[in-house]
Amino acid sequence: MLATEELSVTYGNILALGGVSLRIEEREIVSVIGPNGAGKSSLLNAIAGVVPVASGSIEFEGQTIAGTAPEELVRLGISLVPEGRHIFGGLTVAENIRIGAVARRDRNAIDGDVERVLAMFPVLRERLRQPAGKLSGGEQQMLAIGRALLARPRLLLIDEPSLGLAPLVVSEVYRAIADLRAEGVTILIVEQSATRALEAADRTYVLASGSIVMAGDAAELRAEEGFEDAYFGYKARDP
Amino acid sequence: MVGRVEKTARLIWPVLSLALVLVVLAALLSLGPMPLQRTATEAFIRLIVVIGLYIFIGNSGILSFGHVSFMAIGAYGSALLTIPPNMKKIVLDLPPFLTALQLPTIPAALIAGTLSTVFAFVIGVPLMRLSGISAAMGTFASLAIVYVVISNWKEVTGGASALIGLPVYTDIWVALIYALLALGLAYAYQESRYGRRLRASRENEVAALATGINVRRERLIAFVFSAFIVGFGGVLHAHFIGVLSSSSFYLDVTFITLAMLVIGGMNSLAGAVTGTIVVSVLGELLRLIEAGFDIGTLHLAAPRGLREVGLSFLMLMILLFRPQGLTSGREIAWPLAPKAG
Repeated sequence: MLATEELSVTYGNILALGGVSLRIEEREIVSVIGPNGAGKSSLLNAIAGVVPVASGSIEFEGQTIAGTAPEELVRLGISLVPEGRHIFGGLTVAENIRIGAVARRDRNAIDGDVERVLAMFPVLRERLRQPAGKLSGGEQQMLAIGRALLARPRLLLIDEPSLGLAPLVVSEVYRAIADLRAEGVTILIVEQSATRALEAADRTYVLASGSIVMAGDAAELRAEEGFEDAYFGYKARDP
Repeated sequence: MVGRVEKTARLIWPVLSLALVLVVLAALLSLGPMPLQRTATEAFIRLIVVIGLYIFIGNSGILSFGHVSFMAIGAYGSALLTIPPNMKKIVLDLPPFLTALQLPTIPAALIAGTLSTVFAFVIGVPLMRLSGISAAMGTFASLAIVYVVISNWKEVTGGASALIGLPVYTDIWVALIYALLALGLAYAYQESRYGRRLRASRENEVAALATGINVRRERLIAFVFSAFIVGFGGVLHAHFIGVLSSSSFYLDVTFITLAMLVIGGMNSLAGAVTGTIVVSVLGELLRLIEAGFDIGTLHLAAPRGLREVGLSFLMLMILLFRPQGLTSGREIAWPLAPKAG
């Protein structure tokens, strides 16, 4: 469904991502794990078109998409749930959800989709009229996912869904992610906390210092020698 | 049914309440002596400019130092279309068709407003690619360019000498009506999906992009729309004073209108209105003190510049202690029902 080839991202002189190739098949959950600063967010942001690609290519359903504007990518079916508290704090919960449909043209189907999001995350229903900035961390994460769903994505990119959340809340978020896959959404998760991301995913890539150092399914990876080195970034080895 | 009525009331109350305040103020002030009426008229014109500024700055979160240039273009545009031909022949050196052209005031105002809008579009396309401080500096540069051109284009603007002979039609009621229109338009924009998208990008640009909002386009829409309103403010100003000089569209107005917006709170329409009222009243009081008064043969007066210093001081205090402005960026909420949970 999605394939990147030697994808690089730079910020000025700093190389954030140095030639990453990965592929995601339809209806898979793929996770990318790695320490802070490994380039995980840059990878997602580049796929979503939020940061420019320095070199390399991205293909989505056979179409080259590197350099495409984010709003166009949303229309194609790629939605990003950005890292952390990236909701619109001054807008109400209802406005936040609705704005997710900004790139859609089928206006009359939106109410039904809002309803589906509220059914998926009932806590949000109780707070529809409140400013989103007043929500708890977990609720904000659910809101950010709900907002992304309003674009009816076929590929959902989620940046650090567990960041700063209590374990119980993390389970709830991951349960929602599993539900989404059951509905046919393909999902790419980026995580620093390896345990959850390994459990939830069909396959996992390990990213360190801007390159993929390991790849495989969760069980294989954990058994593999050097996994922890790579993961914790003590020494990045060549794959 | 009751639910729908309440929902509508809740929606229009923030703007209706502001409109009521303005109407009551105008009605009271129109009973006052002429100088007071003139001060009030000037304040309503300022309000139109501040509302225009708010449409862009408030919703996008990007500061603009350049909006007074739209005011200037509106003012000079309308002047050229309404000054009597024989007057234009003496002071200006225009192409013959423009010299001969004299339009009624309303079409002239609309054309002048459109000119500001077109200019905003032309400079907005490159400027809206910038963010933060670069965008603010870019708008400032555009103000400087317009100012220099107007000060030196002798044939069209009269250059350094004042342009005279404009029909004077702006009184307190005309200014009020246009201020109410500006208020309504600004609120309609803010509550529209375009306004909501732009406010979302103000809250969080990355999330807005990721959600699929074309941030640049939304900014440009607000920039161009705000230029129309500010341009109209310029038109009304021109036909209030009746005399135009380039220096009345430069740093002084830029500073005072921005001060009004910042002091009131730049994230809400209520802030734009509150700031304009507070700064106008305070400025007038300081001006009176500055002018001084007589006790017997003794003339007491504060040093010149008290008004500017006083307003700057107020702005400083607001920035330090209430950075969201007097209204904290909130609108006036519907008072009759408890807040919905």
